[in-house]
Amino acid sequence: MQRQYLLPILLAWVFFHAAPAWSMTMAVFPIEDLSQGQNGVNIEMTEYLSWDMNQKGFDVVAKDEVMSFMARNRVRWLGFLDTRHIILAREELGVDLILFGTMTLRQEKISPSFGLTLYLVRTEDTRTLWTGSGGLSQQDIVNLLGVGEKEEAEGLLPRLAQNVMTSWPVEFETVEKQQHALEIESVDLTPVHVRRGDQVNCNVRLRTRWSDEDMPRVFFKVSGRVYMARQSEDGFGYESDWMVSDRDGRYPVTLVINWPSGYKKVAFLGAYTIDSAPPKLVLELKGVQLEGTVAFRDQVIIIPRMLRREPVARWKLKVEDEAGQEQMSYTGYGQLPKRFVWNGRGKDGWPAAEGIYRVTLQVWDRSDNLAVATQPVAVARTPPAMVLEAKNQGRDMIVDLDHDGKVPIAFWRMEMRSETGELIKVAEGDQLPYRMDVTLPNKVIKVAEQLVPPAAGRNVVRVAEAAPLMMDVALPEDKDTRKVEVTVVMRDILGNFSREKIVDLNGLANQQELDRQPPKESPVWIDEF
Amino acid sequence: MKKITLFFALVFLAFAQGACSVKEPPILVKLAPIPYEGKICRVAVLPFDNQTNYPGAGIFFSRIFANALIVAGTNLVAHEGDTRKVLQQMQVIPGQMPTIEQIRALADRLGVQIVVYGTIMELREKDDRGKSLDPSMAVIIRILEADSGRTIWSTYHRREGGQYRSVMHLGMVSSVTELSKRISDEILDTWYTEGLIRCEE
Repeated sequence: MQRQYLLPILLAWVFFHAAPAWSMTMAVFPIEDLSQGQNGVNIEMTEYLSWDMNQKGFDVVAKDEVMSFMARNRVRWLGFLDTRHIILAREELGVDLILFGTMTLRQEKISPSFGLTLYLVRTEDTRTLWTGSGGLSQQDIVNLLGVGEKEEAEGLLPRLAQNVMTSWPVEFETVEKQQHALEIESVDLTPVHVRRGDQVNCNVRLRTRWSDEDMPRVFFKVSGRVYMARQSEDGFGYESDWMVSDRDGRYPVTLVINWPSGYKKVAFLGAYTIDSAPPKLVLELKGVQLEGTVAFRDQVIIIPRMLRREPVARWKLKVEDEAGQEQMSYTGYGQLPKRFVWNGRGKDGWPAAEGIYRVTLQVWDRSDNLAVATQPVAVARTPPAMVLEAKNQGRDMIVDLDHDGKVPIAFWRMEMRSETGELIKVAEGDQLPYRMDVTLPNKVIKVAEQLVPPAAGRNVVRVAEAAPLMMDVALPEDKDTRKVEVTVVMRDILGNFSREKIVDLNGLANQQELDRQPPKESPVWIDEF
Repeated sequence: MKKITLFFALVFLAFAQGACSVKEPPILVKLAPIPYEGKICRVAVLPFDNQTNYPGAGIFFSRIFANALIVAGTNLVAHEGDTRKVLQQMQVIPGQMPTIEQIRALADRLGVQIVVYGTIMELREKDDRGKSLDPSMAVIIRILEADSGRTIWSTYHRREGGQYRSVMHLGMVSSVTELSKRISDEILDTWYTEGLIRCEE
């Protein structure tokens, strides 16, 4: 009688304890090995886990099938999976469970040590049923008095796997199933920066397609307004266009799915910003101010300043002459450079002609609002023109030095030399006009350190900048006069430089004296003679 | 008699050495209250930022931490593949901290209540001489609120393998994986003590 019940009881015990494992198919994905760099694989651990799962009673899918699945579905990374691939594994491999994981540590130099983390996922609802992790090193295996302790890593991997799987669940069916997730493959919301009245397009692709009887209403919701979505031909895509609001601000976009059953799913897709205000911009030119305009000779530094910090989409800097001809331009995308430098050359590379130019900076923000800032700039390359006036006063000679031009002088130097090249006097400074009183006969020179304003209405000798003074001022009665040579060097604050030489200062003084005398009256006929 | 006394004294010292190792608890900074009255069942763990020279530390610690979260009772931890895909769509490099806006979008797409992001500050595997395993590790783990994208809790924790030594060499943690697991468990213990509620409770 007892033997009669023994067999059914034994069969029932085996069924209840082993049935879950028997009825389940499992895929063991290659275990990632981080010690081998990105996407390294640990074949040894993968094979051991496959063998162990088989021993636990699971129907383990062959390694080649898993590899083929990974190649077919472009599973490029090991150590993790996404929901789509888990669902695909169920459809294509027919597996109930997937085991995957990572060898987080593998070093065999000093006291071999390994680390492992494992995930077990149910393919039906993509839920993670079990996880385990742990580390083990040879140093951890301590025997009494060190008897039988090994130095090699032999047997350490299986031991680690068993340690990690100490919490392996006996029963899987009791774990509650989770609701299917709404899988969004891609979201394309363009443009994300718009102006009032612009159009926005939203295109969403889902990984789910519903049957006609279960077809939900899909729409996009923005700031309380809804826009019905058009379904694509393949049934996975939903798209809609709408005109944006007439108020600036940030507008979040959500996808709303309403099923006939009343179930509703809302997913945040992104946001767009309405901005209709152009950026506030000013231009600052670093240079010498001349009559309210910045002037330069070699280069001018242009500094753009945003009065309100705002991202810039693109910009253009251009320089135009007075006729509106573009001399130079720079364009760029993204943030503005901290400064620009114009070297005063045109597009052909030659120095631009003297004159007034307009520097214009155009800036577009992300919503394509345009801001423009303009500043005039002057190119000044004329060297300073010297004005020298010499006047004999008895044995003395008064020399007045000045310049003719709008650009202030930064430095000047005047040298007087005798005919034999002997240096008589050197004078230099940074301000003009300047007067010198010179006594020549006994070579004693007095210098009046007094600045005088330029005398108005005086006859002056202008030394042209292009052609050096070539005039013979020596008069017949001065033939025996001792000659004094004067060299004048000038540099203005823009860096323009001139160097002039007067070969005979006495001759020049005499000539100027003659020029100052009133013209002699010409003889006139007297009618009544 | 003296030899026996000396033997027991040595045994006592060996036990005392283990007992004396001080283990500081994780330092938790609460910047805002935890949402949903602490009952968090759906979490996304981002790949952690690795500021050490140890290769792959950010990856393996984030996986071990996600592992510990599931074991500790969080019903749903978003698959790393899903998290990475959303980050990729938002053009965020794994390990890089997403913006508040991106955190909100990611949390919404994955349907999670909070996002966990961490930084590995220090990771050493061997002792100073490099001759034996003596790991040490310091991490900062942050809880980011899904609705606002802001950090609400931040936890700093540092551990050395030797701090788990009980008697002589016994109990000492000698692998960085095991140390990561212990650190993760201790941080989660602190979180659950300080207001996080297990899903089944």
